[in-house]
Amino acid sequence: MRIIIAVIFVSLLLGVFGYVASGNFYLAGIIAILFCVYGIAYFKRKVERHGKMMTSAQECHKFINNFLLSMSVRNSMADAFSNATMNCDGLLREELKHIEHLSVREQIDYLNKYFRFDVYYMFLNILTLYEEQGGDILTMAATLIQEVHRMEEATMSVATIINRKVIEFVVLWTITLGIIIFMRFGMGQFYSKLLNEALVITMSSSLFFLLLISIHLALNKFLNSPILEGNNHETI
Amino acid sequence: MRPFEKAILGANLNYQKEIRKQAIIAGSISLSYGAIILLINKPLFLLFIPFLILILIVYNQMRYHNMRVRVLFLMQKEFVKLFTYFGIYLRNGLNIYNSLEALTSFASPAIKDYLDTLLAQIDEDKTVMPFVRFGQRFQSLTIEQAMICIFQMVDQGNDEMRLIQFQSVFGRIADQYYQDEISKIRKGLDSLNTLPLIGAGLITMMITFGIITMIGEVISGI
Repeated sequence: MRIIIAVIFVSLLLGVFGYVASGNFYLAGIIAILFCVYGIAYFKRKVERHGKMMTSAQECHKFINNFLLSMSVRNSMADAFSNATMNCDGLLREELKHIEHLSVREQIDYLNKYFRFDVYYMFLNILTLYEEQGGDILTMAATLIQEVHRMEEATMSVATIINRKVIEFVVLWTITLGIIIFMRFGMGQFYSKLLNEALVITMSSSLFFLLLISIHLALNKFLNSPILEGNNHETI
Repeated sequence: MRPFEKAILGANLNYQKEIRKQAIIAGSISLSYGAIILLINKPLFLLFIPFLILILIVYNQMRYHNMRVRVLFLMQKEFVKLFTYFGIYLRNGLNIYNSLEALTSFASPAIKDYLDTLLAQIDEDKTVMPFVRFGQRFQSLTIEQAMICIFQMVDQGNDEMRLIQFQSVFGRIADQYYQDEISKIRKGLDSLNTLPLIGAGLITMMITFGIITMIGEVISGI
């Protein structure tokens, strides 16, 4: 709901900018509707999907770490599972409620459908090996834990870079649109003359079209996480 | 192998299919250009057709090169993923052959083929060559080094020291991979800054157009 409200607010704001830039009410309406439709049909879904994936990755890493630590201390799969899932919430909690009737091992196996990451599949392999051969689970999973740490660190670094780039992106576009506002109110007469030309109206509407393309490209770059997606599987 | 064929195969594309596709594209562009030229009745411009084809060839060479770099990057990325699991299998007491065999369930079709070839070659050739050949496919010296480490494990037994050696070489590859991935993401995001600049350029053009129009009006008035 918050995303929809934000989308509507930004679309209206851009509609106002569109009116200021083109002086054409219909064009402003088209700009507002275009951004609103894009926001609700694509932006919202993309953001939600990305949010789910990030949450799922965090839960997966946390689950693996907690489970392995508890397992090495308690030597009991049931205890380790309950410790690892003790503080989980949201979708994972719901998922666990649905599979409460299954045995612990079945529940762990079932979660492979929820955590669609290769690291989880490998975790299951190690668990099977541990059940068959015994040994120290922490030593057996040392490389896996290292890999999980590497992934977490890389994801955090990428998140920091993305946050900085989002700010840069918003500031640059605000400055660009700010130039139009400045021209409209600072050089009112000159701009009114410009608005009589069809080419200027075409150019100012192209600016908003460029903004839409720019948002689309930025969204795809910001919300695609190659580090997680490279390890995300559908078939295993 | 001809250079063009090498470039296409390096980009992981089907040579015959790609040649047919590019021939159709070049043909359509030339025909459309030719038709326009004939319509405006300037036959001299037909001389530009070879230049258009040359531009298309240069563009395709660049495209194949970029695709090849991308394919290599993805392969190295997959190597890191697969050999993390290889390390896990080794630590858990599986022998080298079985560990490599177990990796095939995680591998993409291309790497699965390479792994199958490696396994088949190991059966016949007991030297380091199958491992080196496998490493060479990734065009990374560190990966080749890791494969030689694996051969040493086969040859001299995968004792604790060899395992540590492998882990150290592999750790370097994994760290390098994540660093490359982060810098690639950073570069990709940097390119986004050009779009607002294009927008600012558009506004500058608008202003220039306005000024020129006004100057034109003033001159016409005089």
